[in-house]
Amino acid sequence: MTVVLHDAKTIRLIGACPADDGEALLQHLLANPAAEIDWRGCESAHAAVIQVLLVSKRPLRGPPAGQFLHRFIGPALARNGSQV
Amino acid sequence: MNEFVEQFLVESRELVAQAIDDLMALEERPDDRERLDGAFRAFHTLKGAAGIVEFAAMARMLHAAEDILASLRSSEEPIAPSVLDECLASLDLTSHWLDAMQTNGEAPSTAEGEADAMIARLTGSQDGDERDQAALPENEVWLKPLRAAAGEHFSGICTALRYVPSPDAFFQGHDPLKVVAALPRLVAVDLALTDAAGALDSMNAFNCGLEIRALMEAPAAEVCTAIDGAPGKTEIIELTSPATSLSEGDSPSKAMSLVEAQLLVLQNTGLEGLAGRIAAAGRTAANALLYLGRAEAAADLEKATARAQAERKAAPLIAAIERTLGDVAQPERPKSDGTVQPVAPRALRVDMGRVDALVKLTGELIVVKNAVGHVSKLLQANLDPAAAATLREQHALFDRLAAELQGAVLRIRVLPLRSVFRRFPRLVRETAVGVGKTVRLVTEGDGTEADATIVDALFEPLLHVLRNAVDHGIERPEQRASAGKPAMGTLVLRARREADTIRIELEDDGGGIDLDRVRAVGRARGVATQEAMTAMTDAEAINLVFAPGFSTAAAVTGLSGRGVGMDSVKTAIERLGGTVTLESRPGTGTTVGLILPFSLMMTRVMTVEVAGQAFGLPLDGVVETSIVARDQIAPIGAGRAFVLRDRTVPVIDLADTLGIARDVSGQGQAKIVVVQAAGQIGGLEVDRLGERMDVMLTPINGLLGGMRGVAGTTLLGDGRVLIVLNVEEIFT
Repeated sequence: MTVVLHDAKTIRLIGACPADDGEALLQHLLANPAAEIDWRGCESAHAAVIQVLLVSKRPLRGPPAGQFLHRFIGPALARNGSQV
Repeated sequence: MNEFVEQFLVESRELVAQAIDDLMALEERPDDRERLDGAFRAFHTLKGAAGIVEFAAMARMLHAAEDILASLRSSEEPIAPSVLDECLASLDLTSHWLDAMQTNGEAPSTAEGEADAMIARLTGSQDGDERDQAALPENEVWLKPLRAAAGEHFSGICTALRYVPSPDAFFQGHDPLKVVAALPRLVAVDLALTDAAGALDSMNAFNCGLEIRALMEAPAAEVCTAIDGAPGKTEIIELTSPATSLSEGDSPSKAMSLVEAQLLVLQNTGLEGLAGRIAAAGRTAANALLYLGRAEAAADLEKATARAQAERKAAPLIAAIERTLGDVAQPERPKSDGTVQPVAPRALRVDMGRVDALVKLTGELIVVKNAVGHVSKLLQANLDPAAAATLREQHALFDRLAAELQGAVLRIRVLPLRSVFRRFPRLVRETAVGVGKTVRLVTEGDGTEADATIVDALFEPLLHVLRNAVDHGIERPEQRASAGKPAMGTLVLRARREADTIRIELEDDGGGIDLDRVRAVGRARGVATQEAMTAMTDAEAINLVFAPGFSTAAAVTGLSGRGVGMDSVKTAIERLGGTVTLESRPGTGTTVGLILPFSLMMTRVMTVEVAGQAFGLPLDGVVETSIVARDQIAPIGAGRAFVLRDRTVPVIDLADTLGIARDVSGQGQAKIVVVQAAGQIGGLEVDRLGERMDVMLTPINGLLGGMRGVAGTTLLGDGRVLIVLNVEEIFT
């Protein structure tokens, strides 16, 4: 499992998150409106996952493990209103 | 000439005209960003076209000009006129090259050197520091945040990508971010949501609603290759330093249409030189593909070209080109932004020959209509009244529709004079600087329309008249000051429509024409004899400047005064069926008037009959008709004349002039058509006055082409040929 609900306050993204994780993440977010996302263990994420992050604008705890995510996607999400 | 080069010439000329338009407008309103963008796009597209036909010098020079425009776009500074002048000069040079290409089918050999000189001028016109500040264009909404995201982390060639994956990309197993992550030398990525994404509680996580923007330190071609095959829409903009941008659907689609055009070249079996065509088409198509960054496809095509050449068959190359077109037709590589609706072109480029064919057919239709009218008149007496009325009615309807059709067809060929006038302000300024004067040109009525042939042909004569006015008309600044005039001379170029003619006037506020000098020079050059000169009125003496070989300039300058002055203007205007007038007000200025027909195709004529034969007289030369008692016509010298309202009017018997014998002894009265020719009034004696009609005049060609006194012919309703006379030639 690459999307894990740690507790009601944290959703963790771990390793390489595939496309299906988008839906899983979405479900977690909807079920836990106050939860923030910890993507420190995330190596890479499918665009479907990033899209959910982008729409949710939830706080992100980083930095992510993956270089691409760290260098490009994190800043892009920050510019779109996510708290990184 | 290669069909491909022809296409290039046509398009390039349009782009040059458009760029000139925009630059001239910028000169007037330097803060007009839209015009600046327009000029920039035109230069950019021109450069691309030059690259595709392998005209390296042109591409190089236009690139330099484009750089300058790009830096102007990114700078807040006001645009210096000198910069615009150099850009305009580069367009002049381009036009000159295009002309040479039109004539010889290839780029002129002097182009390289000329391009170098022009590039030096272009770069010299601009401040060095301005170039360094050049950056990305500010106008693209999505580029701004991207540029901000990149900060200062990039230099040199840069390409921006906007990628909107198709909504079902996730379903298809694609990861658009994986594609982006693999892009070469990525500098910045920005994300946005399309409308498809929606809010969190209503979103479908399997639907892709992302828009991904990326900035790379790589040429567009490389980015093209990298993004190739990704499902969705892409827009790729290469931002060199200073920035350049490809507007969407711009050159790439054009380049592909060039590839497609090569198919036509190959498939046309009517052409000769298959081997040459294969080589040319292969090279052209490969270049276009390289331009699009499709190196692989280009290499394929080159192989196919070699095979086609070896087999002496076009088939392998045709198949290869079709393959590349097929690749593009798939939705993987659309270049345009999906949110922008394609705009249908407002104008259609049509070969002039087709329009002329339409004009000619309409003319034939008018002839048939006249014939039907004639027949219906003959039938009126024999038909029963109801049938006769219907016939009359239908013919009236036919008449009206035919006239409307004719009007509509003629309007196709109509252009506003603006297309000629807009070139003059700059030329006048340059001319004035060359002779140490300051002159401004005011144009009025440049929306006046005329037949395209006339508008095109007006440039040379008008330029000559303008240069004459600057060189000879406007006095030197010190002379103007002592005459109490402002130092800057003013030329007013105005045009207006007067009934069926176009009147163009050029008025200067110079010193007017020095008649004594005109007479002196006329004598010295042997333009007229001493006796003739003494007998001349002032008005007649002024017309001496139209005589061949007359030039009053004390010094032969580079501009005018080479002895081919106003007579060449007069010849050119008369060839178009027009006339030139000259009016001088000593001390206050000169006005040159050009009167031209509105349309070359339509002439209003009045028919007359002499010895049973019908002739047409162009109506614009007819002043009035008069019936005069024969004893009122008195012989004067070798000719005859009568008095019309206290004015002596010479009379010519049309029958005599045309060499037709007839007997007038029984007639007590003579029918005279009073006409105006060469500024004089004259009378033509005829047997019968006919009707007025609009005709399509066909000029006489071949053996009879040189016949004096005949303007052309047209067909009458009853099938007879109507010879339309040239009144001016009959009187002189």
